[in-house]
Amino acid sequence: MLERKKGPLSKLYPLTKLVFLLCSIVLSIVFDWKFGYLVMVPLILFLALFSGNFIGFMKKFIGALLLFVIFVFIFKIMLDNSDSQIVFQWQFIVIRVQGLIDGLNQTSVLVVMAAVVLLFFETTEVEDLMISLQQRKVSHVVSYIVLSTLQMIPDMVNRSKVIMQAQQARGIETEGNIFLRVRAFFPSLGPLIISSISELEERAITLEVRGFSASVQKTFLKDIRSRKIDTILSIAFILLSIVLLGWRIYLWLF
Amino acid sequence: MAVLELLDVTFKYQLAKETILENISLSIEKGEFIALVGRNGVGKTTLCSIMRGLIPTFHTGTMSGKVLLNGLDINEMSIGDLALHIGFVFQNPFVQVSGVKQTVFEEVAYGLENLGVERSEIIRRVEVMLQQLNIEHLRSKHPMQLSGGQSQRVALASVLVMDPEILIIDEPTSQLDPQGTEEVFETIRLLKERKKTIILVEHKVDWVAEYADRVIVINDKHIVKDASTSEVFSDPMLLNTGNNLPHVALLALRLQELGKVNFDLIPTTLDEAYDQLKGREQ
Repeated sequence: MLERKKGPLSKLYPLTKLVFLLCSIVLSIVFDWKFGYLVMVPLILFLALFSGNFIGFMKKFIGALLLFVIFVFIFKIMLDNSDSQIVFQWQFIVIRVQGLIDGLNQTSVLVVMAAVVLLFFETTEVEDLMISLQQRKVSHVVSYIVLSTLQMIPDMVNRSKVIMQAQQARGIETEGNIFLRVRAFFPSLGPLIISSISELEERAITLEVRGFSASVQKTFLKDIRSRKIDTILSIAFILLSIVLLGWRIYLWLF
Repeated sequence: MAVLELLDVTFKYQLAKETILENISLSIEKGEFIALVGRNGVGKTTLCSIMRGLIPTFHTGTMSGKVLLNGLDINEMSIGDLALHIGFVFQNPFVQVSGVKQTVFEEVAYGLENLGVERSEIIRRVEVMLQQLNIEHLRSKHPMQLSGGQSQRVALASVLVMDPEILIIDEPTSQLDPQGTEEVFETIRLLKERKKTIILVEHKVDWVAEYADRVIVINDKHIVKDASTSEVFSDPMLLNTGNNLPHVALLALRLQELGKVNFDLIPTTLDEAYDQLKGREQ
């Protein structure tokens, strides 16, 4: 059975959350690491408490990001050859202040982007997002392509498993060491790709039969509506972002 | 006036050496329930695709002749708008999912969303259809995680819910158990009562004999017989075209051959056989 997104944030209109996502990314790019790590990340983590799945969010956030961020941070420190103050030195390892700042700046953008995108998808059904975009006159064809592409990935994984099982049933060894697995995997690509392509034609016919290109105004089963709170929040995010950007530009200039 | 008419239609698939159908002409009246029968690969599905306008738009090839929907050439109509008039349920239920819906309920509703039906009406019609096809328990399941029989019923529901005036249904019971088959035929009977025009491809001739008004037999690229259900299914020549007769008709023919019973007209359904035999007893 399908599990729907829960939590108060999932009740917000998808475009409100999209505005927050875009504002957060822009601000994290123009501001330095202090804004990213001390304002945006705590704010996103606080909002994640209302996602309805905080633990799941944290698991994905840490699991997907931690190693990558540490790697980028270390890489940035090691590559720094500025003449700024040395903080730590041991044999060939030299850590300078500028390297630390560059590392923090770059990783703060990555962390904010990843966190806000993850929070967005943790609290928003992709279909709801596409419906809200269609309500703003985005073509239903574009919407279909996005949705079906996302759906295609788990479909292809399932199909691949079936093909592998069929090969196993014919006596082909598909388990064991890495070489065995690779040897079994490549022959399964042919049937996987061919069956996916042949299904495309049938899928297109299915859509036509279901009136996909009927020249009428489409309606939606899901009741996705922008409420007053969504309008207020969207305007607030945009105004706040403009004010902060203005302040940042002022600081750059003067 | 005929609701659907085929005038001298011949078709050859693009890479095929020979034509699949030749000089097909038929006329279907509003509210008729027609069954198409014939061996595998004889062109029944092709004929359905021609009637739905999918040939030559999707399956390319060389086609001559005309298909008229309410007197209008369907090749001059938008293929999308044809969905408002003609529903088509394919043979393979697994490819009949939209690929963008997360539950059976949403999947069944998809066609209505595309036709611009109001939300409250969508919900009402989907509820009725789920109940009618006995798939209410599947409403929250993912459409890609269904068994063959379940997929078949969902595919049928997804098209029936759109309420087109003509329904082309290609082997809707191939993956169903006897109870499922009965439920599908019961649904088709209800559609017939509502004066829907139904074109059904089906190998289960016992069921066809019970429900269809008219049977069209296709063999060797042509329509070889187009007559009332009882006339087609009481003719033993049908066996020469690779088709079966209903069990009742086979039994009646065998009994007649043995000289045990002499029927005025070979019965094709249990009720017909019962009526004739009961009359004899009296």
